Amino acid sequence: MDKLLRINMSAEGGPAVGVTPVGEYTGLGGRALTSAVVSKEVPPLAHPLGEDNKLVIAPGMLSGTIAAMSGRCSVGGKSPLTGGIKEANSGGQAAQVLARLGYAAIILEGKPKENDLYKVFINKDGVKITRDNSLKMLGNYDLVEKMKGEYGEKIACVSIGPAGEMKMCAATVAFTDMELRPTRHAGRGGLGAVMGSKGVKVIVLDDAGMSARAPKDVEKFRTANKAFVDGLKKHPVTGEGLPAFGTNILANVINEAGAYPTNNFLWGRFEGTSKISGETEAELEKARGGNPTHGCHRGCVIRCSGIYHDKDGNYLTKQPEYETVWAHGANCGIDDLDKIALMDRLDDDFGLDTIEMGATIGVAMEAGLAKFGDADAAIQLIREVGKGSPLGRILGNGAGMTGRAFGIERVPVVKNQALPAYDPRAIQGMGVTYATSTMGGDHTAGYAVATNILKVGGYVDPLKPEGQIELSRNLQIATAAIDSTGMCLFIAFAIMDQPETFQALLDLLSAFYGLSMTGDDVTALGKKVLTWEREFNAQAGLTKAQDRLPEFFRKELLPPHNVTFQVSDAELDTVFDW
Amino acid sequence: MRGGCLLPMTESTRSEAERALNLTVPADRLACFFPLLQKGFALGVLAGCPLRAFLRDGLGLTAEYIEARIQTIFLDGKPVDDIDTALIRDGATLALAPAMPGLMGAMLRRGGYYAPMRSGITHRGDAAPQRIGQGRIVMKLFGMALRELGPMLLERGIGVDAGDLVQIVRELPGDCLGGVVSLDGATGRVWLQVQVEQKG
Repeated sequence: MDKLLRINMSAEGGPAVGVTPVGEYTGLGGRALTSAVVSKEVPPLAHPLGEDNKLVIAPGMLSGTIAAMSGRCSVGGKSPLTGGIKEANSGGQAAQVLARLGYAAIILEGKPKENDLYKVFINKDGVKITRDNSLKMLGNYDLVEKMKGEYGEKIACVSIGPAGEMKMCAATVAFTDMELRPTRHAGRGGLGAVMGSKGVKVIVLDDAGMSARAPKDVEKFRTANKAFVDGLKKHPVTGEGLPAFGTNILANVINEAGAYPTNNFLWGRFEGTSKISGETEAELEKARGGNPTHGCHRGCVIRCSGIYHDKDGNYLTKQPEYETVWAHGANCGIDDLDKIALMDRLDDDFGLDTIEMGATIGVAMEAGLAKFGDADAAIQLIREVGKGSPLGRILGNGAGMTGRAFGIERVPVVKNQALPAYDPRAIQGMGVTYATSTMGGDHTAGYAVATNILKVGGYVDPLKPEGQIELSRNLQIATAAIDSTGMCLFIAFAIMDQPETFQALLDLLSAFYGLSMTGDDVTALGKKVLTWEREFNAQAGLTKAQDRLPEFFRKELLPPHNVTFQVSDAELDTVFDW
Repeated sequence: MRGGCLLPMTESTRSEAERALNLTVPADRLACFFPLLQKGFALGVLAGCPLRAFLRDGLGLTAEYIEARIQTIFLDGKPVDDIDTALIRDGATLALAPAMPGLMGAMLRRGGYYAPMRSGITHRGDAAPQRIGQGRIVMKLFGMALRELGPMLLERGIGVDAGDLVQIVRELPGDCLGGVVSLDGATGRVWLQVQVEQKG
């Protein structure tokens, strides 16, 4: 992983390939690398869909090794949705394959002069770029089938669906899973539109003939990996709850907490939650011959992904995640798992962010385009997006655009990105992260629940009013660091509770790179990444004025607890004071 | 001592208007009843009982199990940190779950490091001891608690909405109903006991 692959889509005579040493980016991976490249090489005022923006695809620091859980792949660029810097990451096979091919990142630059579409094939022998307009407007599923026919079944694909080609702000970059299905997505912020603006429909990766990346200290690395896996397997969250029920195990508890946004954030509880919970979903999958316990990439030992079959026992989609089930379910008043799963399939095929689309449909329902609870109408709205009808173009550009088009006040976005499945009025600390994240409304921006063991920020007194600010700050630092390793964020629970599992993670990094890494180093990395991102955003015009929740969160009481968001603007403005 | 804070399903628990239903189902059908346990079911309790005593004496859970496996508790929708100061009131809703994933799981965990981030909805404890007396609560089970505690509670008996039960019983093999009259058209609450069919 010592080279960068730069593809200049503006070059005379067609796309030009350049392979360069990693250089100043040495030692960075994942989000650290994407944010470093974007902050140093993209003019902050560049148009997100213009030739000066870049799309950076980077595996993590441990991707391509035998380390468990190291298969996250980061995608970065200037976001057409938020107007700021963006990193979205995904599971799937690509991170491992790309890293084994030796690339620290693929960087798509420039913009083709004509309206052509390209496919990129990368293997041990090099890079081949082919103009292929027969791929136009193919859904991700058909596209991957076509690539299998051309390149065989031992590949990994990174692709966009029609939404990316239409440069919609809700467009994703799709990654294939172990079964070579396009089910994993770098979903947030419209990076699929950036890939579409580069004219790249698909990147096909083939690591035949390549082997796993070798650590500096093989024996220490192997020992650390075993300890890491043992720690994940023995923890009740990573070893039991997530494998048994998937991420949607959260639905019941968030609902019980009164923080499960329902009918476009009108209420905090949904009557139909038990029909769409992770527990119900897992039983249904088992009964139909699906599987609730399945990894999204090789080397995953948590296996919180899954396989969802329809009523006839045929594959429909991967197990819809917590956020997806909420967005297309409770947020739209829908309690039918089969209909929600179909929406997930359509989102994956068109290449759409399920959170953004669910929030958008919630706003559309509030606008009267459909009734809350009408699943068939919701499905039809997604089909409009896939077709690119005038209505679909509005919806495909997200909840903010839809709210403006239809004159709706209750639009749950921060920096124009839709909020995920936790109402910030009930969970104020989450609201701090939503408001201040460099990424826009994003729950994963402060997700690495390991700040205590990382000792990020030292001890936080929970009785102090500024405690929530400090916790959010520390969480965002820790998350930026873990996003850079390529590790799945779900490891955080085990490393929070089990010091030996955290030590095993540090040992993995140290043994691989021949370093002696400490928690302080991890913290420093996280702060560095956030600083790059904050500086880019400031120059792009995103200042403290955008670090705010929508007004309705301060004005409208959220049942059942009847609370509003109480953290002051002055407090929010101190989150990044370090 | 099981039953110290949990009333058995007797006529004193069940009102005259409420029906009782006993079912015997194959082990692989027990999960059919789990949606009822997630949605919420009625239990007769000694109201005023501290939560820890209810878990230990009422449900018969060991101290080790409570510490290790019941990491997320809601009383009337409020996350509980201290199970000694929280009291089971008549009419309360109690939800039990293990540790949950993600930041929200960490926040909702009882006594957790991130609990301050949901301080606005935290259960603050009950200041004054309440009168001990017969009462009912609504209980919910989530995650592994559903699989681990659900069968025991189904066997002991729970009160469920008749309409919800009708939908589930329709999916069961016919002989599960035994000699029980049809539930079609039933309304109100039904007190349900479910035994697992013994093979051989």
